[in-house]
Amino acid sequence: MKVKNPRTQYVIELLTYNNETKLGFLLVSTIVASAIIIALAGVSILPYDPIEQDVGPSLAGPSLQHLFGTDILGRDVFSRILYATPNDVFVSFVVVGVSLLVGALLGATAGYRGGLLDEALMRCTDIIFAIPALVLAISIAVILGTGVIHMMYALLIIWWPPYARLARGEALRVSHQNFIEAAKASGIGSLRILMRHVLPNILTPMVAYATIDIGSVVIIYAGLSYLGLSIRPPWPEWGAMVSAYQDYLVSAPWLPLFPALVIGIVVVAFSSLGDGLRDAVEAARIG
Amino acid sequence: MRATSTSEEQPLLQVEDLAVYFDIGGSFSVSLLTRRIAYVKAVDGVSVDVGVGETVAVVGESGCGKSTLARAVLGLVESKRGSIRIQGRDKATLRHSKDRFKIIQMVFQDPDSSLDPTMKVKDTVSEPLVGLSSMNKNDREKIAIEVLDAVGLDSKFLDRLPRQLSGGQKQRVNIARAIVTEPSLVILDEPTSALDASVQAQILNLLLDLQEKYSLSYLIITHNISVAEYLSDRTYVMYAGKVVEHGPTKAVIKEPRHPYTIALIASAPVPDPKERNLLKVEIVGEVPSVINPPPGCRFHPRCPYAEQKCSSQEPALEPIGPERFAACYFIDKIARTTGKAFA
Amino acid sequence: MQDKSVLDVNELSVAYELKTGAVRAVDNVSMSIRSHELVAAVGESGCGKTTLGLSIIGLLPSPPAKYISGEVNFKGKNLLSLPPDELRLHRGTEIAMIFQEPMTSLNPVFRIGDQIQEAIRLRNSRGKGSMGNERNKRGPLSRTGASATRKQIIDVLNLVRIPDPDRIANRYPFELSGGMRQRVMIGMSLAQKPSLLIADEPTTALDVTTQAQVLKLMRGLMEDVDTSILLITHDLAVASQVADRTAVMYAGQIVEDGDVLDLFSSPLHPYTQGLLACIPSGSKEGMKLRPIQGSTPDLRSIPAGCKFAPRCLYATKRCEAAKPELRVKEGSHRVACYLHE
Repeated sequence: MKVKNPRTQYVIELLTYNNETKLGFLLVSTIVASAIIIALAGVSILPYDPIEQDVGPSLAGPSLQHLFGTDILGRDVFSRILYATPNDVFVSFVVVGVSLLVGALLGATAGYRGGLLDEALMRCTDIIFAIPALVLAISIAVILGTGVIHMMYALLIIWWPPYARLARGEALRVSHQNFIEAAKASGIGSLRILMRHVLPNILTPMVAYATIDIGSVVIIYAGLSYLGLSIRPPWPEWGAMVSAYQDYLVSAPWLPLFPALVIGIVVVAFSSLGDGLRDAVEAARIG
Repeated sequence: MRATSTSEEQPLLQVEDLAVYFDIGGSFSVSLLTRRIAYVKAVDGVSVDVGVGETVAVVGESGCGKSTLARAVLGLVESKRGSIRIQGRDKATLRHSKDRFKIIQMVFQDPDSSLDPTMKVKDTVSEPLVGLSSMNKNDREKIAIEVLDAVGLDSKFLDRLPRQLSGGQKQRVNIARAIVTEPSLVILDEPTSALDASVQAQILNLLLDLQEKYSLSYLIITHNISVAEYLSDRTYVMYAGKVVEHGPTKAVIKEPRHPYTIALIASAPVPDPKERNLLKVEIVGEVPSVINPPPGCRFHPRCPYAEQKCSSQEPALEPIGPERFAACYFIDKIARTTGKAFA
Repeated sequence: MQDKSVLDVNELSVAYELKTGAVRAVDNVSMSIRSHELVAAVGESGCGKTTLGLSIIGLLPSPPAKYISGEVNFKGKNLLSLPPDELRLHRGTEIAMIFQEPMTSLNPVFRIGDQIQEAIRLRNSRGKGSMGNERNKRGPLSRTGASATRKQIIDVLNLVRIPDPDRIANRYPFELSGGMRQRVMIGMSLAQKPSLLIADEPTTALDVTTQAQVLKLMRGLMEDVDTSILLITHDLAVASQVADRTAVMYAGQIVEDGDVLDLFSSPLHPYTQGLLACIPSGSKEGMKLRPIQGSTPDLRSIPAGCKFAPRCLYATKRCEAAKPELRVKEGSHRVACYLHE
């Protein structure tokens, strides 16, 4: 497929690099599209109201009316899982997106400028990197209370250091290329060089990493929900559902397994796409 | 374009006793502990002139300092001592004038890494105009299109990314970018080394055409003798951070006087199987380290004519003919037995 | 000079299967190398010379590359028909190859002396002189009798005229210059006493004076070590300086080959003539360079007919219709061009 705009062409080439990327892209698109549709349309497009009780028999197994069965309160598990999709997708995209931005700016500046600024920024990065996610999350929950937004704060504070490191490494590599020298020789100022020349050139490997990272955020966030720090019942969230339903593992296994499976699929989808993108970027670099 | 005598006119570029040293101290903490300051003396006392309309070549092998010299002239590296005058004005005073980017520009080595992979051709070429004057985007683009046309790239190349260009096309974009600000002097760092033979020929001809069309002066950095011979009016030969010989190109290349120049010319492969100069050449040793260069004349460990004096005191550049200079004590003796030891 | 042929490539065709299409990197190439001969394969980037070299020694990465047809006859045996194990026995001992960038050929964590020792041990354990059907009676992993002595290692360094070999043998690759590393590579390759050494752009990354030293060394060693050399290079001048015969390649084919004196004094193929005219000599005030118009073809979409026709000043309808064969013009001078039929 040939497109006129060379940049779009490049993106398409990356996304169709191999079977892993294509599959990943397909799954990711489906997930994201679902999240957007469900977020906009709300409860109306779901088979059942996710928090309405007794829409079916209690603890019914998977059937045609209830694809993933029902829980003890007679709520439709499938609708609950669907309804929770925008939650995880939104949180992971925001956390990764902001971390990418912050990390890229800090790391690129450190890598390009070097010297004392580099040392200072990297040591700050190291300090933040040392904070454990869980401890911070619980602390924030204690201080500010539980909830989606508060958990997102916790993650936003500590998620960006790996991006800064990655950005710095890439910026170091890019800064020694001749086109940077050429820009300097033309009198282009440092800020413009950083924004226009360094940042765009470090973006592609960072996006590949970020894609895989979305899966990681989903897992951590699901973990926090599992611990009850995030969304409060009756609203559904995948991790919280695994926690709430775990006692039914033997008696009604579909209850904990389906949410866990969905978490797994989402993580695998983003990982595949990210992995494939990383391979594609490597190949482009060598070839 | 023939160079006029530079005695009446002021030379466009005047480099005098330039020295560029790089600190290789290592990391901050290590140098605190060891207190050892070692320098790479990349350029160690070099003087070069380029007159208006002239093409000057600086020839030498890896580590001789020619690329560093180019970067110092352009202001990309700091010099330890020496002066650089452009159109009579000192580099320091020029630093604050916006003009400096207009006067000198550079075509960088390696066309692949010289272009931003994320920028379209037209943007790359128009970028140097950004800081220059208050032109708006459209005006800049118009000039870029003109210049691209002058280097032989038509409008279909405007929106292309570097990955869609061949080596020769990339080099043309490089050249276009260098001349878009209408500079007086263009420094070319190994302009054709990464290119195939047929492309090289096209680029060399292009450079000549552009020189005439835009009244450019060239300073060409190269290790390729035949390129230097083809393009330049005068040639400087560098070795281990110093100039060992310079003069009119024809003279320097056809009748080299300094032992290193003789060795260099003798080693350049000539495409004639009947004249197998390469197989007769006898050169020993390697290019020396520029951290600890040999004492005295830097070439003496490899020089078949070296005597005691050479290892203790460095010879200065002395006139050895009309507009010719060389740094060697035994020029006359060598001239009498020219090249016998090397070829 | 013996007339026995060490290498006989017969109508070899090799293609790369890429996502964007199949590319015929080597197209129906036939050439031979006699013993004690240095043959240069010259061409610009993309002409297939490196692929040719890799095909001969069997180092082509096999998923993208594919042998389509032809034979590579080495001392009478077709290497392409051998099973991989047997082919591996030839590699390094009978046929050696050195590359452009010596740093990636030498292992950076081992000293020079140790790497040379490994090369010598390989030769001893394979029992030199065999055609792959004998092994050291004690087995290839046996250490006794198969290690190299210090003297043998120093001999190798002396062979390639490395000064102060005792000290150099204790050094690591990064401590040596590019020229020295390349000479070590040549030494290690020739220590095996191969019948054929394939050198792929061995001096392209080296300084001019170092290049002269290395080329002279290679030429000189051919006699001492009883080996032939296939020199792959983009530089016609280099070829003219050291080759006995030269083959000019374009878009995967040999367009002209022959004795180096004949080829340079009367180049027949328009591409060869064009290449020679591209070499700058003398100043700009003299002859202006006449570059070959156009650019190298995209190998994915080859038109029918002579591959050089789109750029050729003498092209006729016949040239565009069918590919000319490589035919003998005179003696050993062959050319693939209708102008000379």
